[in-house]
Amino acid sequence: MKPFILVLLLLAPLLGLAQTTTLRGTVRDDHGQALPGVNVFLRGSFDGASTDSVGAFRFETTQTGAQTLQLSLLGYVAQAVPVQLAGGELQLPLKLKADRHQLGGVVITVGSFEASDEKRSAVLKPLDIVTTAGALGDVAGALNALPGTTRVGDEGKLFVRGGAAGETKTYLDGLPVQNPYGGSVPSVPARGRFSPFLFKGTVFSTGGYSAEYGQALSAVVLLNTTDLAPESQTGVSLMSVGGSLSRVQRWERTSVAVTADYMNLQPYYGLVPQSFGWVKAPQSLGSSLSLRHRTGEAGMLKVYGVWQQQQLALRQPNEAFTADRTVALRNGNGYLNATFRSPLSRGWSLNTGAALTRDDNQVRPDAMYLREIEQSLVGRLVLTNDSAGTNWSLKLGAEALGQQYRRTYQESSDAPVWQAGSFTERRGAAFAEADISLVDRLGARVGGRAEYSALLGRWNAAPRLALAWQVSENSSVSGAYGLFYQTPANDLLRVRQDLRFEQARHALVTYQYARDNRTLRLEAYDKAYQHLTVFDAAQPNNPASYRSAGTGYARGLDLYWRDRKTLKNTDYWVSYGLLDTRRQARQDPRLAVPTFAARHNLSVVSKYWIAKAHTQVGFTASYGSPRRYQDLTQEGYNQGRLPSYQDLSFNASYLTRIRGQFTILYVSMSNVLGRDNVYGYRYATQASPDGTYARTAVTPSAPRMLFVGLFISINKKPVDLNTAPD
Amino acid sequence: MKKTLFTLALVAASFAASAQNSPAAPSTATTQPTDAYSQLLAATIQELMSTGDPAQLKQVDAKLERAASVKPQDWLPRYYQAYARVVTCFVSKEDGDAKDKYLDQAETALAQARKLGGDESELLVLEAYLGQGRLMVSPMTRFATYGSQVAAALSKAKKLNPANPRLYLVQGNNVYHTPEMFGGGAGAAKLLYDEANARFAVFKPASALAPNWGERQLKARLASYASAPVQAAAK
Repeated sequence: MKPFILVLLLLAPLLGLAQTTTLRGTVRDDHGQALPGVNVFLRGSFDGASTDSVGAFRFETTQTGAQTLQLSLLGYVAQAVPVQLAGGELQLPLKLKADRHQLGGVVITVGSFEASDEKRSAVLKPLDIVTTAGALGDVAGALNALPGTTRVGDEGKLFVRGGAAGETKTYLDGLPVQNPYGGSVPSVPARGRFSPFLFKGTVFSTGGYSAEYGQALSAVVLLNTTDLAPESQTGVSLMSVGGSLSRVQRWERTSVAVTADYMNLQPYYGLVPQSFGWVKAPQSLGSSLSLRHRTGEAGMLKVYGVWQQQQLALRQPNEAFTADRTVALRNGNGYLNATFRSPLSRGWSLNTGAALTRDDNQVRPDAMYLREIEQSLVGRLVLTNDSAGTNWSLKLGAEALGQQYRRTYQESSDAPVWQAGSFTERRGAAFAEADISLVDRLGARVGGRAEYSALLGRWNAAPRLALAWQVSENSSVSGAYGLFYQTPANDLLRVRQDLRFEQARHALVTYQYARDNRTLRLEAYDKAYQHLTVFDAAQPNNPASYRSAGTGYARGLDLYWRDRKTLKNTDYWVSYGLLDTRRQARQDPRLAVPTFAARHNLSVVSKYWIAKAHTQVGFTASYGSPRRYQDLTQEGYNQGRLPSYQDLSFNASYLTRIRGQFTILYVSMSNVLGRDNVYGYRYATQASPDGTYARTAVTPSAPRMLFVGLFISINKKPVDLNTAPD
Repeated sequence: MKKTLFTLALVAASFAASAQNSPAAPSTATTQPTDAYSQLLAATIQELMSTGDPAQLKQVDAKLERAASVKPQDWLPRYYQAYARVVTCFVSKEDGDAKDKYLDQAETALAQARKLGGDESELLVLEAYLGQGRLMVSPMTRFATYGSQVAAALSKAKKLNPANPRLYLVQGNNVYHTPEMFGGGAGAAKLLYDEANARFAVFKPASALAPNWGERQLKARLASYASAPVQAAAK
């Protein structure tokens, strides 16, 4: 019987009986490393196996003839190998190539802090902007708790790495925003115009940013608005400083949100004594409309319009300090932003948009009347191809801006109007940038941007380069280098237009370690300024005194440590920035430490969730070493030292329901310890008869600011999942 | 927006716990498939439904890939692939990034199944299940986006097919992990589990291979109520 079986087996192939081929082998990567988990199978059949821990596979098949062996593993280029099956055993040494594009493993982290839910590389969450104590719901306020910034209390804006506030540009859905801050007068800090609730993602880049962004010497803040609103609801906010109403309506592919808000600090100032002599406490009235419409599978049309009017008036000493005078501010701002994004064919996608702004700022020191009107229209078109090649992606874009600026001045209301300078700018820019995966674990971003300004009659070309090396699964080293250009500020251009682009050169290197809810970032940077606009402080209205001759440098080290793991229910971060900077800009007669730069800046932010009480509490402690000021009683320039800045802010959010509607009670207090912070000194423009200069300290309006708000979200049933969102 | 804050109350760990109850085996009530493809796919589904081991789930994923290569026009291999990947996320002991990657892959497979014209009601339920995976990875920060996405997917699924028992199960899990003060809790979830139970009793899958998971998970949930009557009686 046995011999019979043997004969049958030997004859089987000839007889055309079920013929079995055994396929076996090992799959390795480019470096000869065995790959486990590779799906190896014959195309069009169930016959196959996954490789084991040493990359080996073995399976049998009854298929015969010419077949295709398919290999696939996530992160690798799928491979098809022709095989000839004729029974017996087939030994196959196989190789798979890493798909650098799909891996996308190397993330360029240099320079930027990203707040996002979607991206894993993000070190911040959008919620952080809202829940950081001391930020008071202001985007700039929250970003000031990150390294690289100096808190300048009397301005309220972002000052990054030795750069002035104007060197940080805000982009909303990719479009540059001309007036990101509300109006203000000296000593009164400005607030950002945009509520942090509008955004799903925020990127704060403190250097070395992409060629996509121009007109920023120091930093960019990229605000990306939310897409379709998740559900219809009505929001009611009652605050110690005002109130707001909102209504969101959601349809299948469309959502519309309208808001109206009114702020008035008068009642609060009535209760809490203020050191400023407020004639009219800050008031504002605003409303916004946003429309979202999904087109096709992945297209999105967004329109966002906001209109805001604000007023305030306070008593301040006049220029000679002989008497107080009333300084009143009235600001009206309208902003309209429309963007559209959609995938095109062959891996390309389109991002385009336009934004229109009008800002009317009127300042009245006593009877004088100073008015600035700025209008601008900016448009942009960007084409992106994420799979231009297997190892690279490409981004191409163009931007155009038209801007009108006019300043007028009247000595008094019946005096003639003096045209204090005006200009019209037309600026075009184009950029191209490629993300390239060079070899395993090494990626590069290479790009360039060219701009032409009709007003300056000049053009510039800015190369940008970034390299990132993924050292291990959890750590990376990246570096960036680039040139950055910006046209001089409006108040400089109004006097003289044939200036040069101001220029900054950034070089920075970052080490980042992120693992298991802990992140460490260290960044060293070096920035060199050229062609900063300078003028003679004695002749601010003489065009001949304006020159593009200023220079400067800023170098330092930023550290960020965030830990969401060690302490239960606690999330904290520490940010520290060391800054060494000098510059000659504007009225500076020589290189000097600018008044808005502090050598040491430290912030400790912590958030603690008390589950039982449904409450989150947060603290932010900040320290800024003494900033400089110009002490007129001594020799030298910017040689005076202010006291250090110290602040401890607290906030708490209590979650509850009022009549079944989801409600948050929010309380925050700045400077809990009541430290007397001094932001600077203002000197009289003329010496008093005894030869000294009178001065007054620039301080906050009150040492502490208490804020209480009740935010109610009304929909049918807050968390009832039985009810469909209409 | 402000709502995000109350996600703080959602407990991640409990989500993970819910997924570890091994899913139900497919019903054997319907007629057995006859052709080789169907038989092999049925065996693969059987294997998928009876494991909670990440390594084995990956093997199943590979087999489903092969099935998809045999019949590229069939949405079921892609559907089960998405399901396998969501379950892998729930049972994996890896960190959030790794879990997110499984869900990214699940999303890809789900989109493929949708392109092939799969049963939209079932796809929506799976989409909601996937969303719960996203939530589990980072409940504090993700409720705003995924919380409402889960709810929206479920309500759409309900409009398409109110008889789908899985939607009540997934909904029940959602409610179970929502704090009582916001309308969630064990008591509120029990009503949905009961509903799911009633729907499972009369549910007939469209074919032997069509989605039919969840009953075992549901029974385990209901059994936990029976063993802890105090909690069940809370409502």
